[in-house]
Amino acid sequence: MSDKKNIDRLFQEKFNDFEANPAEDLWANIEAKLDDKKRRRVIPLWWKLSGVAAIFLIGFWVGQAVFNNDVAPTNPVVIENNSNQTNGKVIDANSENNNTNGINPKLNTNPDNAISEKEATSNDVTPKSANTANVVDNKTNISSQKPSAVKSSSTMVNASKSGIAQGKSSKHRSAKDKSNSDKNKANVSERFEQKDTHQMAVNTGKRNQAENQPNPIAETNINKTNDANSLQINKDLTLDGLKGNNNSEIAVKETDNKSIDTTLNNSVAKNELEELLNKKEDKLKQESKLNRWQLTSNVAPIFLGSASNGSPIDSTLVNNSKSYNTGVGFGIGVSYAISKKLTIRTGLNKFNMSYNTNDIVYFAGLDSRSLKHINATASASRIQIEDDVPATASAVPSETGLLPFENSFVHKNKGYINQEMGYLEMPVEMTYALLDKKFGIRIIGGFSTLLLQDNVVNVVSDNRSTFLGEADNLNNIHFSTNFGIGLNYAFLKSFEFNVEPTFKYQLNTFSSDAGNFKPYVFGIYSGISYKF
Amino acid sequence: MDLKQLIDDCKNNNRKAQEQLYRLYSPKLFAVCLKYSRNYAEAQDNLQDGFILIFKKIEQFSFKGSFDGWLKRVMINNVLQQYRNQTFLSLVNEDVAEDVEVEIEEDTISMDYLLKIIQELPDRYRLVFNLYVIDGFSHADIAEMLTINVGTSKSNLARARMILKEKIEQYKNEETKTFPSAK
Repeated sequence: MSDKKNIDRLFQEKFNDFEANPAEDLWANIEAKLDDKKRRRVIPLWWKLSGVAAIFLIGFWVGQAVFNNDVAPTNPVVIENNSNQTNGKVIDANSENNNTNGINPKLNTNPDNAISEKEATSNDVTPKSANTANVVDNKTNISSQKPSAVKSSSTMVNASKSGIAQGKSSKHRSAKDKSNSDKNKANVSERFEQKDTHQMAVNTGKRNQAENQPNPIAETNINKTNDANSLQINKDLTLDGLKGNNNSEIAVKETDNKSIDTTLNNSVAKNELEELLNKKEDKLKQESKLNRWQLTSNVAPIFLGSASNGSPIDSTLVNNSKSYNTGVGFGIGVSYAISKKLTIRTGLNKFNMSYNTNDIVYFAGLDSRSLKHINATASASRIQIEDDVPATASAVPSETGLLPFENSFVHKNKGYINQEMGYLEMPVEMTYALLDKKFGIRIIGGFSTLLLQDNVVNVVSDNRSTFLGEADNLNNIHFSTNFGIGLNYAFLKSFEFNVEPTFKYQLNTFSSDAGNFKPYVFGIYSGISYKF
Repeated sequence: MDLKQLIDDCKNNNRKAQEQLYRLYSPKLFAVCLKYSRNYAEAQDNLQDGFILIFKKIEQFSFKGSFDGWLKRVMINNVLQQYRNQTFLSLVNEDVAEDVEVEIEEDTISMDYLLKIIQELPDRYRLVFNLYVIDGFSHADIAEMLTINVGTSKSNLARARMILKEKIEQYKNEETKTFPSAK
């Protein structure tokens, strides 16, 4: 039965109709994965939406926190007056007490608030119990005391509310702020009262603080002892109050302790506020981690042109043909992405541009009339330049500026005038991305401030160049409006190659009498930029 | 059900159609996976990934050529993808081996054993052997599919044959040892 056989044939025959059933639950796996894939395709959309929502939410939250921060410091100022006024009016007997109250907030209203908050945040339960205990005690205290009892007791409830609210604040400060502000809004009618009570609550808190002060200083973070202490001290305080308004004592105690407090509290409070601010700033920074900054270097051939014929050098040369030379510009820039599509950018470019006024003749004249807008150098002041166009050649000799006898021996050189201008340019431009992929297209618009750097006028003939002088009608600073199209190609993650053909219309290059010469610059700015 | 209809339904992501397609073709394709994979478990994994790939790519099937062939190609490519990049795990001898006719004595060798010895081959040998011998690809095709030289492909095939032959003979020897009377 055994015969020699090629091993290939063996396998071919054996495996020809080979079929095998996989495990039964395999389809379930495949189905699950297909579902998973389907779901995954949907998720990015939700991520985008939820991302936008989250940004709004965070923005709203940050905004509100900032808003509340702004509001918080103003409260004590109002309170100060109110507490003085209302208490002064209504509670005569407590005037001493009120005075001390009035003074203390002045000393450190803000830090106290912050501190009481901090207290609240540090020991969750204590303030609640302490305050409520306080309230109860105060109630009895006041009811046993003076005519203001009714009002005070009604407001005490509010005090307890705010006290509780503060107690709750430990976890969500913003929520607390909101609830407080809501309360303030809702209870406009009770506003003064509430603030009054708020003040009182602060005061009681302050008292606790004042009494507790030795402990926090000595053991800043060990609050457990404070729990017991504060309760005890509250009792002490209220006992004091009951015993017949030993206000002077309290006042002395308070002022003594306050003087110690203020420095300490101030520093602590500032730190906390700073921390909060820092946190917010950090959050904002984290949100904006989008490689917003970009450094760009560029080099460009600069083509000069004029929208109309004219000559800024002299009115007699208006009709002469002009030829524009290609200059070179280079610079650096920095841009900031406001959004994914919109960026604002600035930079510093240096470029030179020059043009020639053709078909002129020049010669040395004894009484030469120099060109109108050239500040001629001493050596060049005898060079007379004229238009060499036949039409003007027929002019009367005297008009050419030559003395009659000069005509006979003057040798006129033909040539051209070369005017060169160099500028330092500071563009401020915005770009809008039409296409924002690996290859991008964007529209560029903006303006530039140009500072005059080089200002040279030469007369040139037969490769011989003579320096004439400087043009006197070039503005030291002028502006241009820019418009261009940028093409960029990201060849690495954060490196891009840019080509930006940009048209820059010069607005006020010449101070006066440019002879209708309206220059513009066209540059093809190309370079490499780095995102970070 | 019409096959074209089934494929179209699969293109529309119809889950029922996809399941039907799976039921229809999984035995054949699982066989492919078994031959090309290292073991049963990996074959299952590859089958699963392959079907997901098939459902993803079925959009591209334009009814040119046989659907069976297309499925098989996708599945083989999928498996190759798994092992092509893992060759560093199994150092195979790349020396050119002589391509000799390997003949064995045909006997009743169980299918399971043949599958087992194929699966035990080093990855590259297994892939080349399957592609050339069982699925009929040329060495040029194989070289391209596995991004190796034609010479390497031939050499790998020869070595695969040698190993398989040895294993079959070993199997027979053991059989004769355990059942001497069978001879």
